[in-house]
Amino acid sequence: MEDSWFDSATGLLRFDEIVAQRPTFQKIMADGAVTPQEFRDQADKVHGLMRQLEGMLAPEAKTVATDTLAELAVLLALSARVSSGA
Amino acid sequence: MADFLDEYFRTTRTVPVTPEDLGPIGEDVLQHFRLQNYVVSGSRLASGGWYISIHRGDWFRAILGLKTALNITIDRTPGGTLVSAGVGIFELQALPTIITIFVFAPVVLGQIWGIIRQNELDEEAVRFVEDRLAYYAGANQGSEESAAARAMAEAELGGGV
Repeated sequence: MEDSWFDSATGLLRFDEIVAQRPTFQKIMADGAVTPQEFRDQADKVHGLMRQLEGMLAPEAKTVATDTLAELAVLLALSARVSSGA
Repeated sequence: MADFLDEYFRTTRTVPVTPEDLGPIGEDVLQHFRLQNYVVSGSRLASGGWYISIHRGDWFRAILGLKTALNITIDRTPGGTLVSAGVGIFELQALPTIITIFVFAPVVLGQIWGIIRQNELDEEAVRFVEDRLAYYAGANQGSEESAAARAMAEAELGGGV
């Protein structure tokens, strides 16, 4: 399986393929329901991964990772705002 | 409920022509892209308009298993005909929830929209519809002129007897 975040032929971002293969994503998609515990578990998972990532990164890489995660959060907020009609 | 595709990844134009029947226009659009080896799909709207999806090649990739496409809408609007061409999911008029909630969807669909714009595929679709609207409007006007000419000729014949 390709490890790159980008499709080698088209250059398009292929993170949806990476996400679709996650057991966490597949479980939610399988039953279509999100329990409060699943939601809390996912939030904890992200928290743990961010702690791990921060500890692994050299300063320059940490700057880029911080920018990437922050701008991704902004994009998510923008999408939510458009969808809500606000 | 609007999604980001409605707002940001679409070319829209209102053409000041209102044909009685949009049927032939949609058929012509399907054929135009079919001849260029696009996979095409079209359905009529309740208003008599059209919803047409086309895709071809690798850059209309799937996202979360759903094939992307250029979706073309032709519909009546006050003052004329609304034509829009934008990136979306093949044969779907609205984004599925799984796409709207997927944080990377705007990134992927935005990239595909960029390729569409670079190749001017959206402009090609809109211009073709504009051409067809003008053609069928002209054809109808020709018919009206012919009918008026015939009426005048018949009136002259009637006056001469």
